[in-house]
Amino acid sequence: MNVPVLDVDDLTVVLGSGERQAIVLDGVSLRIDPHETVALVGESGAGKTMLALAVMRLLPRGMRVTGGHIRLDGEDLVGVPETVVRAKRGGEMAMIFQDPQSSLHPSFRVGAQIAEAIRAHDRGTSRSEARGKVVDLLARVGVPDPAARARDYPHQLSGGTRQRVMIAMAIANAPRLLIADEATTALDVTVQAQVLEVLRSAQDATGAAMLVVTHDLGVVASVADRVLVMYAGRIVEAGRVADVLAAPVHPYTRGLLAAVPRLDRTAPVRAIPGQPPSPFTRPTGCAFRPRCEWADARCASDVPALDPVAGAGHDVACHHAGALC
Amino acid sequence: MSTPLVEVDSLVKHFGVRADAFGRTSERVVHAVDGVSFTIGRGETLALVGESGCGKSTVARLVLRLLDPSAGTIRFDGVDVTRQSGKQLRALRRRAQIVFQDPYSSFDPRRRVGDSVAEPLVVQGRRGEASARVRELLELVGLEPDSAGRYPHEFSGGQRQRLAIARALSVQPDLVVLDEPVSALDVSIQAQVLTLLSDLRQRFGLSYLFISHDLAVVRHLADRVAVMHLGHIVETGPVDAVLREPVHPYTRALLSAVPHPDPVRERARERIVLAGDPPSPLEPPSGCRFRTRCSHAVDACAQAVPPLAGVGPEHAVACPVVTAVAAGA
Amino acid sequence: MSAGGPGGAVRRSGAGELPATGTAALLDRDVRTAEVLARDPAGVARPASVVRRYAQRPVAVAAGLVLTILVLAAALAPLIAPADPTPPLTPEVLAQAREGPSWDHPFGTDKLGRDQLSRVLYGLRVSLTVGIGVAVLSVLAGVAVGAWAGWRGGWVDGVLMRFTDLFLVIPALVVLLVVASNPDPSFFGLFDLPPATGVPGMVLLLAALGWMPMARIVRGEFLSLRERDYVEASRAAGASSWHIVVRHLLPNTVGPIVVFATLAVGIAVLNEAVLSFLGAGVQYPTVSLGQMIADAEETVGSDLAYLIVYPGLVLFVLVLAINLVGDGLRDAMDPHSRDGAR
Repeated sequence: MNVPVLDVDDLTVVLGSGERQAIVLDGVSLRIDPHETVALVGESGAGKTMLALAVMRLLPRGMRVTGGHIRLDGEDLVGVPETVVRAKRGGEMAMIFQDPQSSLHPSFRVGAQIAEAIRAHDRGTSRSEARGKVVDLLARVGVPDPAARARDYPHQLSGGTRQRVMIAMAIANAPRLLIADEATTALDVTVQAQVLEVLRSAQDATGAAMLVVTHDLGVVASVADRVLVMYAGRIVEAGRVADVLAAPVHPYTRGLLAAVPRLDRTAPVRAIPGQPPSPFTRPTGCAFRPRCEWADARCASDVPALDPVAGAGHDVACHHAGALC
Repeated sequence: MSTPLVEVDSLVKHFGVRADAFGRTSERVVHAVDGVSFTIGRGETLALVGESGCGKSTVARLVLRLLDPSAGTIRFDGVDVTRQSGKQLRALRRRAQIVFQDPYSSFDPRRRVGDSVAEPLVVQGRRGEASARVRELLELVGLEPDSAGRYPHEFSGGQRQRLAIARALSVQPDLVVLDEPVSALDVSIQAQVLTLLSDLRQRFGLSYLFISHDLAVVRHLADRVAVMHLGHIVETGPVDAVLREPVHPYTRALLSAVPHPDPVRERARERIVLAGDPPSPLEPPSGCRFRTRCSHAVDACAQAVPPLAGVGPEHAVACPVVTAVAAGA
Repeated sequence: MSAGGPGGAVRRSGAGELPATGTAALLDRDVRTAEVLARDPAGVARPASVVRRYAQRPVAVAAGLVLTILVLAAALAPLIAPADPTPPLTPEVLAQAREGPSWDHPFGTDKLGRDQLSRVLYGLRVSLTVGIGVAVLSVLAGVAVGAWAGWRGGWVDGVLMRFTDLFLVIPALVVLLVVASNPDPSFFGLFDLPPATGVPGMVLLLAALGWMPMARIVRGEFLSLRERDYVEASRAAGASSWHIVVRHLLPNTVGPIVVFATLAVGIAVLNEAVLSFLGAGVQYPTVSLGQMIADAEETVGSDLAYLIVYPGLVLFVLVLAINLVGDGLRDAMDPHSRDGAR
C-alpha cells in the first residue's frame, strides 16, 4: 500500500487557445516513491520543464492544464485553489531552478531569504530560531563558514555557492518532493559534481522523492534510479536507469546515446538527422517519425502507446519496439 | 619541418588596469591570461579546455587580435602579428576566422543571412564573388542555397551555427577559431555540427583552435589538448594521452567530475571532488593557482608558478610534485 | 547567455524551446508573437511586425489618421485654403470682419476680415515645418555625437558627454524667454546666425536646445550593441569602424531614434507656438498658430471666442496626435509593453 509521493496521471497541458493551440504535454504519467529519484530527460521543446512547472502549479500564463491529475501524497492539485497550492510550495514540495543568478533576490542577504522560506511555512519560528536554522542548513549543504555566508548578498557568492543556497532554501522545510530543473546545467563541471553530491545527501537525509529534469545523460546516470525520456510532449521510454541507458529500445533514446560524445568510448558520434519539433509543428502520429529510420505508414497515423516491452524490462512507446529490442 | 601555423609565446592579458583622473592605477586587475604558450600545426586541431574564468576565450580572441595582448608574442605563419594594426592585420583577417558560442547573437537580426555570410568577402574587397560563393557555402554546410534571403530568426540554433561556419569559411581561411561552438545546442544537433566540422576540416585541410569546457566533445574532435586553469596551461599533450592518463591534479579532477551516461561505471568509479570554490581571477593564489584545492599541495607550491615539464612524448605538465612522483615511479 | 566569473558556465537554449520572453508575450495573448519570439528574441523590431502591432492599437491608428490628415492639410494649404491668409486689406475684406463660423468661413473671420481657416492652415504649415525641421536636426546632431561617443568609448566618450552636459544645463525656458524679449541672436555679433524670428533661425535654436536626449539614447544603445557577437564577427572579418557603425549599429538603433524623432516633433511644435505667442516667433506676414492665439487673447469669454478656440484646438489636436503616434510606435517596437490599449 505504497502511496507514491508524486503521482502524475495522464496530464495534458496546452498552450494558447482556439485555433492557435499547441500541445505542450500530451497525456504524461509518472510516479515517484519516497527516497526515489526519477530523471526526466529530453531536449529543448520536449516539455520536461513544463511538466515540473505544472506539478508546482507555476505554469506561465497562456499555458493551462486541460486534463489529468497531479497527486502529491494522494492529494490532487489540479483544479485546487491557489491558496492550497501556495501553502505546499516551499513546504511539501520545493523546486531548484537552473540559473542561480536570477533565482535569488539581489537586494537581500541570502540568510534572510532562507529565513523567509522557513518562516513562511512555520509562523511560530522566531527570528533567532530561524537564524540558527539558516546556519545549520548552510552547513548541511556544504557551505564553508556558513554564519558569514548567510550575511552575504547573492552577487558576492560564486555560482556553486548560490546553488547550494537554493538547495538549502528548498530543503529548509523538509519537503516530500524535491524538483531540480536543470539545476547544474549552468555550473562548471567540477562544481556540478559538488552540487550533485549535495543533492544526493540532502535527499538521503530527508527521504524526499526527487524529480531531476535534465538534458544530460551523464547526470541521469549519476543520480537517478529511474528515467523517463521525453520527446515532443510525450514519454517515449521509461524504466530503470541501468536498463534504459545500457539497452535503449526507442529509436530516439538510441539516437541520443549514439549522439552524445563520450569519454569512455572512441566510436564517432552519430547525429540524428533533422531537429526536434516545437509544440506548434509537431507531426501527426509518432512525433519522432520524420527523424526515424524505422518509420512506416502506421507511425504516421497512430500515436504509439507507452507499453511494457517483453524482453526489454521497461516501457517503450514505439510500434517497432518488439523488433528493436 | 614547416613552421607551425600559429605560435603563441608567453601570452599575457590583464584587464582593468586603469588610471583615474589623478593618475593612480587601479588595484583590481583581472589576470585573465598569464603566460600561455602553444603552437598549432597546419591541419591540426588544438583544443583549449577549462572551466569558466580560466582564460580560454580570452586566448581565442588574442590569437585573432580581437584583443591586444598585454605581453608575449603571437606569430601566424611565421609573421609576428602581436603589434600589428590596420592594414597589416588584414592579412591575418584573410587567413583566420572565428565561430562564436551563442547562435542567437552572432548574426545581425536586421540583415539577411546571405549578406551576413558574405560579409567577410565584402569587407575584404571580394564583393563580386559574393553571391555565387554564398550559395556554394550554404550547400557546403548542409543548408538550402535559396535560404540566403531569409533572416536569422527564421533558423534554428543548429542552423545558425552552420551559418556561422559558412561565414567563417567564406574567405577560405587556414585557421578557424571555434569558441564553444556546440555548447548552446541540443545534444542531437551538437552531433550534427561536430560531424560537419570534422568533414570540413578534412576537406579543406583546416586548422582549428577549439575552445570548450566539454572534455568529451574535445576527445572527438581534437588532436592535441591544452588544459587551462586560471590563466595558465597546466597540462598539454595528445588528446588520448591527456584524457586517458591525466597527470596534473586539476586535469584528473576535471575528468573525474564529468558524469558518464553509464550508470554502472558511474556509481562504481572513484570521484575526486574538489573542496571549496574556484579562486577568483581578481585575486589568484600565489605560485600554483590550483594549490588551494589540490590534495598534493606542499609549501613550495606557493613560491612560484610551476613551468610545464615533459612527462611523455609531447605530453607536458605544470606540477613539480606530481611529475617528481611519476618520474620516481 | 553565459554567466561570467568562477562557477558559472554555459546556458542552453534549443531548437524548439519557448524562452522566457516567448512565454511573457503570451500575456498579450498573441500566440503568433510568442511563436516569432520563440525564434527571434532579438529582432522583433522588424518593419512588418512593427506595423502589424501598431495596427492592433486603435488609439494609435486613430491618432495616425488624424496626423496624416493634418499633415496633408498643411502640405496642400495653398490649394485648399478658401482664401488668402494675409490678403491686402481692401474694403471688401474689412467688411467681412468679425463674422462667426459659416459656410464661407468655417472658422470665422478675425477683426480685419481675414479668413481664419486659411490662416490656421498656413499656421499649421509653419508648425509642422518647424517641428519636422527641429526633429531632423536634433536626430542628426544627436546621432552623430551619440554614435561617436558610444562606439569609441574612452576619452572621446568622456569629452563628448561633457559637451552634451554643457547643453543640458542650459535652461531652455530662460533661453526662450530671453530670445522672446530680444529676438536677434547674433550672439554679440560672433556668429552669423539667422534671426530666431524666422523659421530657419527658430529651427536652429530649438534643435540646439533639444538634441541632447537623442545623443544619450544613441550612445546607450551603441554601448550595449557593440558587445554583441555579430559586431565581433565583423571585426574578425576585417570591417572598418565605419562599416560596423553604419551597417550594424545604426540599423539596430532605428527603433529608439524613430520614437524620439516623433516625440521631438511634438515638443518643437509647442515650443514654436510658445515663441510666437510671446511675439518672438515668426513675424508678420508669416502666420503661426501661436501668433493667432496671442492676437485673440482678449476674446476669451466673448462672442469672438472662436478666434482663439479654433487655433488652440488645432494646436492641441496636432500635438496630441503626434504624441499618441509616438507612444504607439514605442509600444509597437517593444513587444513586452503591457499598456491599457489592449
